[in-house]
Amino acid sequence: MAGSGAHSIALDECMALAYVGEIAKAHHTGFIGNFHVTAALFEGTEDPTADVQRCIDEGKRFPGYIFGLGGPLTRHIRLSRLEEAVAAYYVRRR
Amino acid sequence: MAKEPLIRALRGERIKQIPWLPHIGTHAAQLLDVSAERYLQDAELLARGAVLCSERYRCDGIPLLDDPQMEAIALGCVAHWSEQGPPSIVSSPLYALSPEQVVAHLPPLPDETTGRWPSVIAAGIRAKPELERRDVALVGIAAGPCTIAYQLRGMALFRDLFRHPECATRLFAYAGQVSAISARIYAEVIGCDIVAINDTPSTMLQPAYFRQYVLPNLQKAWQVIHRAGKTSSFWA
Repeated sequence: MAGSGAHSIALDECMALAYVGEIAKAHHTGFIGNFHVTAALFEGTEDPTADVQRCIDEGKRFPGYIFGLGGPLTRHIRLSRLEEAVAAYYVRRR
Repeated sequence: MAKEPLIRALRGERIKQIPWLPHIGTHAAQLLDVSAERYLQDAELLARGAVLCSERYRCDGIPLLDDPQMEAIALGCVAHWSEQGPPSIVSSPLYALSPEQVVAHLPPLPDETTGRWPSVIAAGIRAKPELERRDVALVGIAAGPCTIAYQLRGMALFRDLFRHPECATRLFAYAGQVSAISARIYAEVIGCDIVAINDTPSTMLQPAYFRQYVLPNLQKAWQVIHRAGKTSSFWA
C-alpha cells in the first residue's frame, strides 16, 4: 500500500502504528492513524485520552505523521468522549 | 486549523505540530440532527456538515462525503439506507451472472451527471470557500477498485479471483476506471485539496492478489490526482 504511488496511507486500528510509521518512512509517504473509534467513543470503559497518547507516542517518532481515526465515525457516538479525545490531541500534538 | 502543514505531512514531511484529519463518516448527521440517509443525499447538509465538523473539532482537513457505496449506487446497485451510517448494497446487476457474462454487462462508466454526483459537486462548491476561509483542506474520498468490484459482484468476486481470473481482471480494470473518474471529479471539478482512495476490502486480499488486481488499477487515479496538483492518500 505504501508503495502504491499515493502520497500517504491511512490504516485502521488493527495495525500497530509504529510499524506503519516505519513502512511509511521507508517509502517517504505520510501516514494517518489510528485512534480506536469503536473502543473509545461508544459506551466503553476505555479512556479516550489514553488512546490519543498511544497514537501520538507511536506516530510522532516518524516523519509524515497525521493524527486520525482508525475508522469512520457513525451517527451516534458519545460526543463528550470525542471532545475529550480532541482536547487530549491538542494538548499532546507538539 | 492549518491546511498547508497537513499537506506537507501527507507528503512525508515531519511537521512540528502534528496535523489532524478525521475520517468523519456520517457523524455530521448527528450534529445536524438528521438521519444519515438524508444527510448523505442533501448537498446543503453535506456542505454544512463539513464546515460544522471542521469548526467543532478544529481539524486541518475534512472529508466532503464519506460513503463508500456512492459509486456503486451510481452504477445501478441497490442500496438499503440507514438512519445511523452509510447505506449497504443489497443487490447489483452483476450478482446473478455467470463469470462469462460479467464483462458484457458492466454498466456504462459514470460521469459528473450520474447518481448523486450533482449533489456532491454542489456540496463541494458550497463548502470549499467556507473551508478555505478557515484554512481547512477539503478532502474527497473515492471508492477504490476492490470496493467497487466487490459491490458490483458480491462474494462471487472472491471465487472469480482464482477460478475466473480473466473475468476478475476485466472487472478490476473497469472498477479502476470508475475510481479514476471519481478522483478526477474530486480533484478537478470540485477542487478538493486532498483526494483519498478508500479501498478497505482490498485488505482482505492476499498480497499476490493485491499486486495483481488492485495495484495496477490504482495508478490511473493517482495520475489524475497528481496531474491536478493535488495530494493523494490511500485509506484501508
